[in-house]
Amino acid sequence: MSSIEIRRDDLVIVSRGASNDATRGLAKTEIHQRAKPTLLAATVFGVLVSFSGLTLWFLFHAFVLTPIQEHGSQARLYADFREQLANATAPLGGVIKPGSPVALLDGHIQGLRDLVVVEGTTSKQLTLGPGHLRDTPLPGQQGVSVLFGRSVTFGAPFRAMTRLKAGDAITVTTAQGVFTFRVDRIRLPGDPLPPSFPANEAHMTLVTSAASGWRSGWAPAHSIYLDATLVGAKAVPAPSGRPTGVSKASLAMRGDTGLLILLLLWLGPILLVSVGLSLAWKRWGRGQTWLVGLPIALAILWGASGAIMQHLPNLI
Amino acid sequence: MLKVAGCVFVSSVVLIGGLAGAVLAASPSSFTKTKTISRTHLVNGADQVVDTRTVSVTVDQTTQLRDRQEINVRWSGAHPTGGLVGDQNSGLAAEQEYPIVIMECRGLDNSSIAVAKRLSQQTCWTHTPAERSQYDLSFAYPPYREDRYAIPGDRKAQVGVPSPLPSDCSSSSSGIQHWVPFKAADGKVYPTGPFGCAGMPPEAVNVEASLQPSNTTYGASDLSGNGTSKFAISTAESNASLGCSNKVPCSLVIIPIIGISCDVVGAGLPPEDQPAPDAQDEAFARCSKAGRYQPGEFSPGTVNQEDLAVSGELWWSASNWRNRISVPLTFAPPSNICSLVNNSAPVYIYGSELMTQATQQWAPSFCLNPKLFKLQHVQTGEPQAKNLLQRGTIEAALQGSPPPTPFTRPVVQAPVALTGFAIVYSIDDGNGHEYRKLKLTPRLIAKLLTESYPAAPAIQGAYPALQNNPLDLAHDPEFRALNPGPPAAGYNTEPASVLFSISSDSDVIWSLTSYIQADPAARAWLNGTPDPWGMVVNPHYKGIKLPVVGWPLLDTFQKGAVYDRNNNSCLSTNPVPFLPLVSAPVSTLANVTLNMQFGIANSQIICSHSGDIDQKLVAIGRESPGKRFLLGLTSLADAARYQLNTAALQTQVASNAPKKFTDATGRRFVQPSDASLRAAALLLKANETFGTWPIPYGQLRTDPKGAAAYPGTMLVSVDVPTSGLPATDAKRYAQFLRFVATTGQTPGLGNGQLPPGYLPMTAANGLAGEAKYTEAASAAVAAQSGGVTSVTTFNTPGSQATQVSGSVPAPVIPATRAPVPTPGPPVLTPPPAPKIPLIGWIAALGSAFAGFGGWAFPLVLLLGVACGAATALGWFVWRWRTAR
Repeated sequence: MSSIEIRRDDLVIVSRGASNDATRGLAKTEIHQRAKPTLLAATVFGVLVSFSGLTLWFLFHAFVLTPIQEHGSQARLYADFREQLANATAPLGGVIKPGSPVALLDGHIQGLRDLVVVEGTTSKQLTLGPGHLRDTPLPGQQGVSVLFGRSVTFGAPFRAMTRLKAGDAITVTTAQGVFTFRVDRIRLPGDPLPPSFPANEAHMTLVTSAASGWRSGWAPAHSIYLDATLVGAKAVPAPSGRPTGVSKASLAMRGDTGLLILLLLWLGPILLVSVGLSLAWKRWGRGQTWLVGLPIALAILWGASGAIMQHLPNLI
Repeated sequence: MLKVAGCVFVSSVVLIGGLAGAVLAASPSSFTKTKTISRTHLVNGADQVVDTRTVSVTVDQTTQLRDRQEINVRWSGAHPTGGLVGDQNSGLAAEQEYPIVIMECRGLDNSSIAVAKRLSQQTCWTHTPAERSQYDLSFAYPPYREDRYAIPGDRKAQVGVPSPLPSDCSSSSSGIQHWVPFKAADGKVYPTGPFGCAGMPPEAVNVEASLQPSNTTYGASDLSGNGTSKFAISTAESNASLGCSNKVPCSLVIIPIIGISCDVVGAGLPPEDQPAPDAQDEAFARCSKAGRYQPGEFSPGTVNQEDLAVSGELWWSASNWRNRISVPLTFAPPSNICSLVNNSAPVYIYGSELMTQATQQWAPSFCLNPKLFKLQHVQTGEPQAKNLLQRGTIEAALQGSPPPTPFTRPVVQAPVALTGFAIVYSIDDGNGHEYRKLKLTPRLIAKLLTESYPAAPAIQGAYPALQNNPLDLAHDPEFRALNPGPPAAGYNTEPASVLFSISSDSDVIWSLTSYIQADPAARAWLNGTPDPWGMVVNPHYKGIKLPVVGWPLLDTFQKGAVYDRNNNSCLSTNPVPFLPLVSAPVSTLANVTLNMQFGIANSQIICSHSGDIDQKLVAIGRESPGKRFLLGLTSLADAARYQLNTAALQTQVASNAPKKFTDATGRRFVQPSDASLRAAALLLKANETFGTWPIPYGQLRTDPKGAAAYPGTMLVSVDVPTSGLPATDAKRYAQFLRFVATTGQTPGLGNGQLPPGYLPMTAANGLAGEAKYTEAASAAVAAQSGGVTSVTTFNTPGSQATQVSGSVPAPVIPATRAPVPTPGPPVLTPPPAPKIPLIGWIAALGSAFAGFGGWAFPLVLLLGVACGAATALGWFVWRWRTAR
């Protein structure tokens, strides 16, 4: 007795033939349709697939797309800042619009070259590049200027910071000139704070996040600080008027949870697009849906992931 | 009329002398000396005694002196002073007749020591060149040239003039010139000269700016020859040219001016220095003058009107100089000594300015001991220090009151000192002398803080809400009922309408506003009820929730005549609200103390360079003694060191006391003193929720035992975590706590002792429990095992075990403390379980993210992999299941 089995996605055709040729025409053919999965199982399946896809997309966005985004922002900011420096309209102090360029940072090592520092240190501003903590003076002015930078996503501008050693030079260009800072030390939380200094000196602290072991590079655990002192030139006085306090979202390792509502707003378009695309898939045709749907889906996903990134700590 | 006013003015110093007498008598390092002085002319070869006095001088503290510290000098038996001026420290005061000149000089008055270490006129500090250089272009024989006791070299026509003459001094090439050079500590000699043309030390000035008061004092004696004066010591920290320090001995030189003893014949002098016979009569007439002002008479204000022969300007002339009384002074180690001897990294304690004086005396005993370490107190606001401690950025914080939401880490709050805030004042009464009996109620303090006085008549006319309010504190009937006497005529009303305070967050503001909040009358007034005389609160502050850590300046009124171009060009060009300019708070208590010590009003309402392009608003500046009205908020220790007057604060009101009162009947007012701090200490009860001994403001007001307790008391504690610190730091903080609990509470002025202004934590003062708790805390900090000792086990015996009520608002998050030590620091501190509304939940999410955020990517990857694995698994299972 021979049997032929033909399987297709949901059909199983089993044909069992008789042993002798006389009864061949009377071969029994059973057609089984593979049991369709129940609605619950299908939903669960669909959800799991989407989840995996979305998480993979999220990781893809975080590690591949955000550096591209930051690169673009930095190029635009560099062009703006160049023009402002040439026209002497770059900001000097006081209240500066968050997101506007304030300084150019160069650490003279691979990965820390020619970064445009923007004003503000919330997650949103740090997507553009390193940020300047708003209630501290600008680099080169009297006091301690604090700069934040990401170390994992959005180009990880300060990831290379840990490779600097005491004695290395960092050059910062602001509206008030070119300042050279000498690195004093790298500090971890729990290390003693730097000693106090006379009020007319200029210092700079770079803050980013780091971790050791398997977590380094993608799952930072704590902040890490680099202290530098101005050498060569005299510290310039800082104009008055800068904010005396910053929002909680501007502090180290803080996400901007004020934007929770933003996430909810993205749900609408996502829902709309999913429904629209699945309808188009069925009614319109696969090729057309792919052509039109892919850019729209990518755009929506990029926007939503960007909003999620703003809720994550600003130094990641 | 002027005579009467002058007599009354001068006789008031007797009162102050009486009050100071008790202090002087009790002080151990005080110094008393008596000397007989005389003025004897040499006429026709014979002595002619004109005046003899026996002067006795007492100085209250002469050892362990610190920079800018004020000491009291009292004298008796001197010649009464005439030609009085208001400010005894100004250069103009040198022109008084028969003053007592008090100056600080480098060196000792001992002929047996080396010349370089001896004091002389050239090492005595004066602030202006006019006090050490004289010139006369009209008459060749002024009194200082006819001094019988001067050496022949000092009776020449030009004394002290350098040759070649500097170009700036070209007008001094002729005439009689007598310049006393100044020898600085580094050896440099400044010839000075008129207007400092030949060079003067950097700390000296030609035109006295209001922020550089001199410490050279020209004290005034009253009709009986008695007087008292405060003297501000300067060390090398504020006057490097004088250079006094614990390594360079200095003296306080007191010269009772009695006048030049004249010798116009000049036998034995070279012929060019002897007056011609026809000039001798004139010379003698000028030299023997006995003063044109009556004793106690006020100077009309124009310069060079006095008789030079008896003027304070000639303190350096031999007749006066030989009558000097020198008081040797010794100094405490400078405040920067630790950075000079010890280069190691210090152990930092951040926080309360209330402890500045104490840590200044404690720090040298740590850094000078090679077995101990360098201790550094970084002064910041207490709320900021507590926040930094909570975040883990610092290791120890000094606080004045417990945090409103208890620490979420294991932190022990160990008491280190019982001190408090003081409202200090410089107020002169209607007769122009110093008022010393200020009483304040919480409602008055609330009025001063809430910008409810219009301050200027122009504002009162234009601001409808404040129109019916008294112009300033001095016009307030509530103030006048409690303090008859002030104000003086011609005082500034703007500084008299505010309490000069700080703008930054501080536990001192929290305590002051807690005191105000606990008083029902003040609270009702803040809620809008007018006071019995009809004054209402500034509407911007109506209903303000207290207590607060930082006092806000809320008024926005910006209309009226003060904004006219003719009145104030700065305000008309750039209008800003006026009342915040009057309040003009500063950033630290130390700035308040500095301004109050020198009577400087900080209200920024004067337009300088008015009309020019660089016009700007500046402070009113130094108020003239005799017309002052200033109040400020500072610490008790600062008030003690700089001898500032402290106000008596209301503690309790009897139930039958009248609401619209005309005097202090039925109301109890308490000055800060050891006794009143002790009364407050006896009322402190440990509270487990706060982890310390909070001040029971409600109980101070209602409990009979609280009537004598000072309401401005604050218990300063140091917060140190008991887990997570590196071992060496933990050991050092433990050593510090042990020191604080034991030897650090010994009162005194030496290294390692507790200065005045703090009540020692001893059993006699009712603080044995607090001291023992600090010792136990020291062990917990050294162990670093996460345990926090329970406070209630250290309750002072004899106090009831009832919970304090109505003291500080209840905390939002209940404290979670580990009663048994847990091994090792926690890796991830879970957020506390709060009962807070949704918005707070979102904020808590934010802080939770800060801890969890680093895990974002691993978690997402994990989730993705898990879902993918589940998908694949499910697919295969389904295929397998349905394939059969």
